Amino acid sequence: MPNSFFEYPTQSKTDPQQDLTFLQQWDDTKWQKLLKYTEMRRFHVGDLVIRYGDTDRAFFIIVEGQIEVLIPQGKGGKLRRTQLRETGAVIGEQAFLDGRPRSATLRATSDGELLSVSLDAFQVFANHEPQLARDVLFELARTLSFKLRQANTFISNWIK
Amino acid sequence: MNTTDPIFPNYLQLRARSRVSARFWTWTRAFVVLATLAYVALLFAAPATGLFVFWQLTVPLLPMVFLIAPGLWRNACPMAASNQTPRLFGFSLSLTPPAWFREYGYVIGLASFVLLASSRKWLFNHDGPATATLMLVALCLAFGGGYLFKGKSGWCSSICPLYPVQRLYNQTPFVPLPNAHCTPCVGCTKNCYDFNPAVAYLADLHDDDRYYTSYRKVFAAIMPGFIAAYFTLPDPTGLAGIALMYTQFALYMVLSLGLFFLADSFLKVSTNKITAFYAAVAFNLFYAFGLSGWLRAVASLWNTSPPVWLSWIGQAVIFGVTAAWVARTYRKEPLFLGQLLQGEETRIASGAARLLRQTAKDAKAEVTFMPGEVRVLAEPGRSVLEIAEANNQKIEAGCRMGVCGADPVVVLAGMDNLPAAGSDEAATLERLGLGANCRMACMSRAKGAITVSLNLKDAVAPAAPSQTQAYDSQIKSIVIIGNGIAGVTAADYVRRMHPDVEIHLTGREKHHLYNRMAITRLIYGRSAMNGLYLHPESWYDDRKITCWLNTHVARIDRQQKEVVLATGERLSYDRIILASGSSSFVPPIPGYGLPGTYVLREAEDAMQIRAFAQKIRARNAVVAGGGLLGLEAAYALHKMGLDVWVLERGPWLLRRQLDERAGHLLEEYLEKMGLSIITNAEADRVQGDERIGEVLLKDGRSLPCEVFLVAAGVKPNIELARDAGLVVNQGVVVDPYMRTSAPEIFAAGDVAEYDRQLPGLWAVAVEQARIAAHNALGGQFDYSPIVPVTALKVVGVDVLSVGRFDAKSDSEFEIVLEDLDEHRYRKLVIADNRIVGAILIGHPQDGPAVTNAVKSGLNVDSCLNALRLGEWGVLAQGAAEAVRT
Repeated sequence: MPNSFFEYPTQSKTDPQQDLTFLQQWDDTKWQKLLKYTEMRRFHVGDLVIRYGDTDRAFFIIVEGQIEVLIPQGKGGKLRRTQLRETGAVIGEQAFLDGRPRSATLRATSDGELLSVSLDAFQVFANHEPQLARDVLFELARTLSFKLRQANTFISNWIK
Repeated sequence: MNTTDPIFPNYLQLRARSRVSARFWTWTRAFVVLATLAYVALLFAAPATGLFVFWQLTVPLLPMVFLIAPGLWRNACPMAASNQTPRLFGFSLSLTPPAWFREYGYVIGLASFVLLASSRKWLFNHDGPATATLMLVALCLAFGGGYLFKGKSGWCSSICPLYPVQRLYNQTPFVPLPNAHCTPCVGCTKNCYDFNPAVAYLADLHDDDRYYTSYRKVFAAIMPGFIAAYFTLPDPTGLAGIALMYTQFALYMVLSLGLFFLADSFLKVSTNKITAFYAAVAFNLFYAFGLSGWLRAVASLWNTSPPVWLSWIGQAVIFGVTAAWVARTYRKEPLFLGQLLQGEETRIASGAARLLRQTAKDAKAEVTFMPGEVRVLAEPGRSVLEIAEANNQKIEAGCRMGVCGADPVVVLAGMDNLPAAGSDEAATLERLGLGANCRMACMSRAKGAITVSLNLKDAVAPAAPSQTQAYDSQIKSIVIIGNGIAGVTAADYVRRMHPDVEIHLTGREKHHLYNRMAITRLIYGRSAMNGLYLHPESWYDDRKITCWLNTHVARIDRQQKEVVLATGERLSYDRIILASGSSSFVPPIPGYGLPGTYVLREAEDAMQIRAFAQKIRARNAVVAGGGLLGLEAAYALHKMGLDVWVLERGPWLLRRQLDERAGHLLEEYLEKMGLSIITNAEADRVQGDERIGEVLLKDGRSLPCEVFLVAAGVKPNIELARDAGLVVNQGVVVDPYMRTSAPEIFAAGDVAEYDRQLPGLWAVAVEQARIAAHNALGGQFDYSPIVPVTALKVVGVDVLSVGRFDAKSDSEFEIVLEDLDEHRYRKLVIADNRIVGAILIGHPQDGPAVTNAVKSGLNVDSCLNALRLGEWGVLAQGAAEAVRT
């Protein structure tokens, strides 16, 4: 089950799968080059890091801390949590790529920091560091492809 | 921790919310175990009563409990209590069950349920001791399972005959109750119901293991048949009868199973919907047959019989409850699937995570934007404007040099962490009427933590009233021609100094003063004029400035002292401030004027370009002119998605601002961005049928082109002045008091030519307008030329040019530093040990210090070595010292 529904407290957290590690081949030098074009944001418990419906084009990496993914549910649109995302997670890449409104609200459940890579900043990064930018795009594409594959398998198995 | 309720809260989260204490459950369990033993005793001692109490009064209640509050049974079940006893007293072996047991535990439970429940018909319903024995055996087996296996894996969540029933009906509890046995959770079962009640069954049905899923489906599928068989078959007698009964049970179940298979194969709904429906059908069947019996049993306690309608009502209620249950079960499925699909996280490797954490830790400055409370950790030296833009904050930008006034912010906290406002910025704040807690974002570079608000409602008014001067009381009316920055600034200062004078402000454009430096945004952006106006409409009313928008001035009648409007109206004046600005200069290019050919000077131009490019779905654009405006326009068209060529007449870009090397570096960057730059190129003519289709260059090349934009510089609008007989050259000639050759007419801004200079810069216009306003009211201020500062506003390339950019004689020299890796370049021009000019590419944080150093002509004799080594921080220190001395 590719989800955290049954992460029993006794289990050691499963290590992130090898093939979903983002930019694994990058060394610190390359990361530092990217960091020159990104924004580091601090958040406090309760901060809304992303709001449902926002149209900002950026993806984020949680540098430290924990963020919950909330989606409005039912008629009243009451926010309900679907997931927790923690240190190291890459989030929001779909809106970064397709520019559609954000599909969830992200709220901090701890203090922490977040790295934001906006599309504008990424364009500049790509102008200066085309090879590295290609890496990033490939990684984002690979991530999406992985998820799409997962979804395809899932759909072909279960949804009629 | 402050978290929102998850859609599917797990055991830990339920527990955190639960108000039922563990002690309550301990006592409940003790009571239920004793009650069970009492049943057993009764079944042995008075079988008839025991059977009645157990099978007819008690057992029919269980399905209802499973459906409404399954957690109640999971907590209170006597078999569970027995099962957990070894664990409670610490003598459980807590083994992990073997693989076959894990695989078939559910099947064993299923089979034993079917076998035992059907056997009620000939055995348990009629035989007290048999029932008592069944109960004792179950308690013992549960105990044994608890002794051997960890958690609840030895009975409750594996082979218990009631487990499949619970599993089916507990999938959408109306009242979720966390299991108090599981302290702590030891993760004993796959897809544990106790761990995540609302998900467990869905997870079963979506498990990757087809067999695992099928066992569950089979149970749901046989249930209606089983219930029907139980209630419709006669109680058997004799061995043959019993055998027949089991066969009939089997046939009923096979029929039910077959219908399920049909439905699953043909209905275009998920299996989960069918299992839930089957569960509901079985449930209703159970009570349809059993409710009246149970009611009779209850009533018989009081020696009465229940009215018929009570059973009907009861069944209606049960139908309602199951319908609600089915609806809830259906509703959660897409949520579950949605979450399941979101699947695995992408993470960065731990090494990278460490680096990122360190970067966050090392950040010195923190800028908090209100009202959104967005907190950004920033490199010291970045401007609040850049940070705001990079973090999607709503802010406008114009000159990026503190002059235009597009980006004021209110500093709510941390003003100490900002350098003091320079003269340009202070003048702009004064012009905007903003007080001590305000700054221009482009000039605010934080050293530490600051909090800024983008909402000017938080601004305080200026502390001291603006200076006033004695004014000439003969002056009753001032007409200001032109409502650009020079005209509006002049109007503002006139009003500040003279509360009563009539002020007429005429403007050719349809708009009040707007941020002309940001009009390229109108090409690529979607917000049109929103945010581009520098003052609200009320600003003019408050100052009693009479605006004449969309109004041309026909001529100046100096005899009558009247300004004649093209509408025929006449405005009498005592003084005129001429601020008519400049227009785009278009060199003679045959074909210019075809649809698709444009200049870019006014907001209207930009909006027309956008409209036209959309209308014809333009793909190619050519910009003639590689100056500031040309490049910014090219960038705007590029952002709009067009392929853009830039034609530059000279050998490099920005020849008025950059030296050759810097020009080439800029070209390189813009090429990477996707612009095509052609230097030493000039448009010869443009051609097309109904609209422009191509541009022919002087060297014979041809470029496809649907939008042709000429940015070849500007020419001052001197016609009015010339016709009125004033001395004009390229511009309207003024003296240091900004007076034209007619003493009652002043000029300022782009139209004014002072000392043969036509800088065409915003900052110059502001300063000249201020001087002109004072002097028009009888003052005697003189203008001293200001150092030109220009910045290119293209994202990703910070180009700043201040003063002169080339050494011109032997007594002058240059310091040039280039960092190829970082795509940066910087240059100082030094004459007589003083900095007279600079170029910066990719060094935004040095901008203010360098600008100040050039403006103040900082003597750098003592720090030349540091400058050569690239330690340009000395400029900021030097400037500070110069101020002190």
